[in-house]
Order: sequence, then structure tokens, then C-alpha cells
Amino acid sequence: MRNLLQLLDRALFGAIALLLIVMVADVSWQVFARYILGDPPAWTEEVARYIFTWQIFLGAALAFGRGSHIVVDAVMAMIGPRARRAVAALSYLASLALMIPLVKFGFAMVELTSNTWATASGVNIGAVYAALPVGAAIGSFYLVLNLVHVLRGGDPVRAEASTMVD
Amino acid sequence: MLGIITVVFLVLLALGAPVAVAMGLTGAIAVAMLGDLPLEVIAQRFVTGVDSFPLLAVPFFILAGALMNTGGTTQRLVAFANVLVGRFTGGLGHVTVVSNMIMAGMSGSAAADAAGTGSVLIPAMARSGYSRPFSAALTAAASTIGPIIPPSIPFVVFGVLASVSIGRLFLGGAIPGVLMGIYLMAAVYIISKRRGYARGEKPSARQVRAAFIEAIPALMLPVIIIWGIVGGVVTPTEAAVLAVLYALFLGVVVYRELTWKSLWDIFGEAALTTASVMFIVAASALLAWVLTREQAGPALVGLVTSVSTDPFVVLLVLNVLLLILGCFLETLSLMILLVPVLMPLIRALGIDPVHFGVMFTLNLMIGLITPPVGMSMFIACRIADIQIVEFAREIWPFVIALVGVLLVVTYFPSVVLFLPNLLMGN
Repeated sequence: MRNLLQLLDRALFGAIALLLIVMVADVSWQVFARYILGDPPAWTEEVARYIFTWQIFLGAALAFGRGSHIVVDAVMAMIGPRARRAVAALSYLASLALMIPLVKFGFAMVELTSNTWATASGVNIGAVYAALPVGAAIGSFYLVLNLVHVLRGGDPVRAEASTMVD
Repeated sequence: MLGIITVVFLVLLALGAPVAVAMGLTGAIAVAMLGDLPLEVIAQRFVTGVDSFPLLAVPFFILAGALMNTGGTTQRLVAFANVLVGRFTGGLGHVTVVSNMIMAGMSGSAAADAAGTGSVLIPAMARSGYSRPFSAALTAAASTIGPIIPPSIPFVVFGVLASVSIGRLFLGGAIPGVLMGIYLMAAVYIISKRRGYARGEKPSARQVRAAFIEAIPALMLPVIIIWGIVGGVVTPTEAAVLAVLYALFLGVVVYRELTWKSLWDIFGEAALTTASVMFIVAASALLAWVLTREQAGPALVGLVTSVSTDPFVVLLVLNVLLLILGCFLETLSLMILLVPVLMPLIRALGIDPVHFGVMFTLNLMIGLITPPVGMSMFIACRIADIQIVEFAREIWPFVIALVGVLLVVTYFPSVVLFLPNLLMGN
């Protein structure tokens, strides 16, 4: 089980790293084509936005697994370990309460848009919307694991706060 | 309805649920309670909230900052700042401020600047006899210059939300950013005089030249970015990708401190950070949409204008409100919630949106260093290994200095508007 989780973590980390590399390459190509070749391609903006969507929701799923989402932990810092586990369990339940409608209505949006295609790039819009329910489903999986972990008496999963925002 | 939204949101935040979850779940509950909307709108808002080409500048600026911190660029800028101002009373304190001003010209993120300059300068200051809480407080305060001097992630987000030219916002931040540096250096000077903090040695002409030559390639980056955006040559997103390419070039070819393994980790970590930021953007897009639908804007406008309709007083009220909210909430969520609500008021009072954007962002930057919640504060405390309480005792002179800049920015709009009007026309 632990090995499988490591594999999932590494697969998601690799996927979002790769998607970011593709985004950099895509927009670089747009700049190069516009200013050097003088022939701006129509598809680069759309493709970059759609890859970005997948990068965001897959990354958000991994952030649930690693406990690296941005939180306000003022209350958590003030209470004892037992209360902290209880509060953490509630916060996982709250997150699950958001993930479940995101999966359900996310797939509904995929169905609604599966017959539409982006104008410039021809990308299927349903394939773009799929990022949300897929990410939310993986996030739910991690949240259930985190919940079981604290209910069994483990400490809440919490990564170092990210150092690169704002 | 607005009352329920507020309570649910605050309870979720206090539980330590991710900020994005607090916003998204509150928004989803509100949509369900309204009852007259298809629930698919919850998913739809999440996706359309992040589907924006200008917002692509966010991951690129995060990535560029990470590449500079790991690739040796930051250390060279600090060395360059050291030969410039290290010789004055409170030398390393001034070096901290100037390093952050230079970093500000290349990165768009205060947190990245605090991490980059702090990891070099906080240990150095401790070795030279500065107290750790002072070093941490100063590092955090100086890092807030980052998003005011262009480029800037918060200006990109503000520009998208308020439909204001990001180029004008970038230019508008330049003079206020320099003012922040000057005010902070004055505070450093006064404190250092009193406590007898050391001055550094005067560098020889040869040392100055060596540090300058090492830093030249890095100093070219702000020139490229500003010229590109202001000249209308590239969009902010394209400028951000140029910053990534240039930071890669510096780290791999010029300073040669980036390895393939470290590159892979930087891309992954930057993508992960981006995701947690953008997940907040997605969730707050839903909540902001509900708030707009529930007429929160007119309600707030009514509340503020019941105090006064004089722009002078309204801006004062907004400043106080934002400074208080900034102590407790995090930058991007505040921006996404409040900008759509406040912009009608700003336009109705005839306040220039670029002026307001810089003022608003400066408020949120002060929020980054005011306890109990603030990203720059957390990072500086962690590097210095001190408690928030110790930090709080040392931060107030710098908060006063920055509020001083805020007042200048609020009541002398030309400090903001001079450069954009000069270079981009009225």
C-alpha cells in the first residue's frame, strides 16, 4: 500500500512538472512565432489554458495528499494534539464535502460539453472539463486516507508551507 | 444569506480547512440554498475561474523566482547589494532592503523573495550580531516590495479581476516600491543607530567592479521584462515566460548551478505551488459569483458611502478595512472576493482604477507581515527559527514605515500615475 501511494505521488508530481514544461514550451513557441517568424499561431493560447487547467486540478489533488494546501492554522497551533486530530478530521470531512459535488457536477459538465470543440485548436471542451472531476476524485481518495490516518490516532498530514506564492 | 455565508466561511477557516475549501464549500452551499440554479454551475465556475491566459503569468513568475533562488542568481544580487550599501550603519539591514528591491524587479512574489534573500541574509545578520527577530522582521517587511515593483503576481490578478491594464499597474508600482525601500532603510538606520548594529567594511573599487560584473547578467532581466510589457511588445504572460527562459539561461549556462535533477524538482514544486494558489482562485471564483449575485457589492457600497461619499474619506475607510482583513486573510483570496465588489464604488467615485489597484495591493502586502496570518512572516520566522510573538515585537517599526508609504500612495495619486501616464499616455 505504501509503495502504491509513493507511486501515485510520484506519478502526479511528474505529470504536473511535465505539464508545466509543456506550458512553458507552448507560450515560448507563441512568442517566437509572433516576433521572429511574424506568424502567430492561433492554437497556442487555447492549448496553454487547457493544459494549465489539468495542471491545476491534478496539482490540487496532490496537495491534499501532501497536506500542502494553504491553510490558516492559527487555531490549530493553539490546541493540544488530541483536539488537533479531531479538528483535522472535521477539516478533512469539509474538504470531502466539497470534492464530492465537484466530482458529480464535474462529470455532468463533461457530458454537457462533450460535443463542443475549441474554435482555434479543435480541442474537445469535455476533455478540458474532465480535469476537475478527475482531480477531485484523486483528492477524495487522499482525503479518505488522511481521515482514516487521524482517526487511528496519527498526526495530521502537513507539509511545510509553500514558499513561492503571493 | 450574506450573514450565513460569512459564518460558514469563518468556521471552515478556523477548522484549518484549506482556504480554497472554505471558499468553495461556502459557495457550493450558497448555490444549493438559493435553489433556483442548476448545480452544475458549481463545477462550471471552478473551471472557468482559472481558464484565463493572463493568469498563466502566475505559474511562470513562480517558476522564475524558484529558478533564481536555486540557480545562484539571488546570491549574486545580494553580493551586489552588499558592495552598494553594506558600508552604512546597519549595513546588512540596508543590504536586505536593497537586495529585495533588485529581486522585486525580476520576481513577482513576496514569498519567493523572503525565502531567497532570507536564507542568505538572516544567517549572515545573526553572525554579525543582529538579533534574529529583527532580521526576520526586516526580511519579511522588505519582501513586500517584491510585488509592488514590477513584475507582480498580485497586479496580474488584480488586472484580470478589475479589467485594468496590467502594464499600467506594473508601471504604477515602480515609484511606490522605491519609496517603500527608502522608508524601510530609514527605519533600519534609526534602529541600528540606537542598538549599535555594525556597519560593514568599505569595499575596494576592485570588489565593487567584480560584484557588478557578476550581477550584470541578472540585472538585465528586469530591463527585458519592463521594456517588453511597457513597450507593448509582449503581454505579461509572454514576459513571464521570457523571465523563465532567462532565469534558466542564467542558472544553466551563466552561473551553472542548476542540475537536471534540481530542474525537475523545481518544475514539480512550482507546479504544486501554482496548483494550491490557483485552486483558491477557482474556488473564490465560485464564491465571488454568488456574492455578486446576492448583491454584496451594492450592500458594501451602501455601507461605505453611509460613512461618507468623499473619496478622501472613503479611501481612508477602505485602508483601515483592508489592513484589518489583511491581518487574518491571505492575499489572493481577499483580492478575488473584494475587487469585484469594490470596483463599482471606485469607478462611481471617479478614483483611477490603477491608483486604487496599487493602493489595494500595498494594503495586502502589509497583510503579509502582520500577525497572526501572513505568508512572508511565516517564511521569515521559519528561516530565523523564531516564534511569531518575537517577530511581532520587532515588526511594528517596519509596519509604521510601510503604512507611511500607503498614506502617500493613497493621497498623492500622481506618485502612482505619473509613470504610466508618462510612458503609456493618458
